[in-house]
Amino acid sequence: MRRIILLMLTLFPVITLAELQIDNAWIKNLPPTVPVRAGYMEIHNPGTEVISIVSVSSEAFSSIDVHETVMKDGMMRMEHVPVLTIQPGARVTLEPGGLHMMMHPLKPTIVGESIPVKLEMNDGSQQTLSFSVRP
Amino acid sequence: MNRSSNTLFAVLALIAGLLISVYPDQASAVQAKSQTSPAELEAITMLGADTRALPEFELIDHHSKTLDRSRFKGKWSLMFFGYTSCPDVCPTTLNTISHVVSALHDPRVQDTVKVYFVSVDPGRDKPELLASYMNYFNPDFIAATSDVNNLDILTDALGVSYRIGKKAEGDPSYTVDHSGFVALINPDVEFAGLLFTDPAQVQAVARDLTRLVNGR
Repeated sequence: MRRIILLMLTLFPVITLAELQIDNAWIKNLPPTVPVRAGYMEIHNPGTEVISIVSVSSEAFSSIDVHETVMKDGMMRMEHVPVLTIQPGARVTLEPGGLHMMMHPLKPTIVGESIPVKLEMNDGSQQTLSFSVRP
Repeated sequence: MNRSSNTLFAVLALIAGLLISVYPDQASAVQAKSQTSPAELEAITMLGADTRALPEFELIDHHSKTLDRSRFKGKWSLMFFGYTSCPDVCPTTLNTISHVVSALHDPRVQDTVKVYFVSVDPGRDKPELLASYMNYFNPDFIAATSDVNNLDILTDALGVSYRIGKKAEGDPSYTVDHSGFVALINPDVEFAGLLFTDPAQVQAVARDLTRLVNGR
């Protein structure tokens, strides 16, 4: 029995991924006539395993996709990032002019409000963050 | 020359030299009347010899009024291209330009600098939508668009590229790729310079615009 418990304890760190540390989660406000918003955040993977965000959703948005603003052929374009991977110990920053979440709001966003957004990881685990709407 | 006029010349030269050394601003003010030299600007890149007159063009602004070359005379205009369904680049650029304009403290400079946002997405960006978009950032900014043929006259002249990524007719959520730089149009309606917006350079751009306005 003790051996089984010991075995389970050694396996435990491998079974579940660490939680991502997320700071500065915000959404840039735009007038209600505009059908998109951009979401940004600073992500840190404190664990020893690679963590990938495979899906982002929220009741306030019909869809949320991660994109990256890149310059190609002299033009700014958005490239879809279907899976956002954060290496162990690494930081990935979503900020204006770079990686961002492209979000389609279902209703007007208001400066100062906090909107829950759910991140789904590659192992099925989830984290819900509060994003503040800024001007 | 005879001796006395030599002496007179020497005395006058000495006085001029003393005046210039005591009042250097007056001497350099004479130089500043001509085009501000690129070396004096911090954030704006001037085209110099590549400065070129804009062709005739016609867009409709967000007040549903015609926007053509004539409205640019006598002003220093910042013009950039994008679309309202752009979540990241366009709002970020507009924000930075808003801060630049707020940083212009001289009323004469404020009056001379105009901001234009040209939408390269005429399919979705109708005047009412452009109006609410501009008013969100600064009600003095002017948004404008036109059909692709009219847009191309202006984008070609400014070296602006854009590509509408419509996947199918009636596709409501396509993206548009577009050049990210801001074009500077001088009071003679010439494409005279450009800059890339950077939130860290707001004050530098404001100083550059002040130099350009005061340099004429």
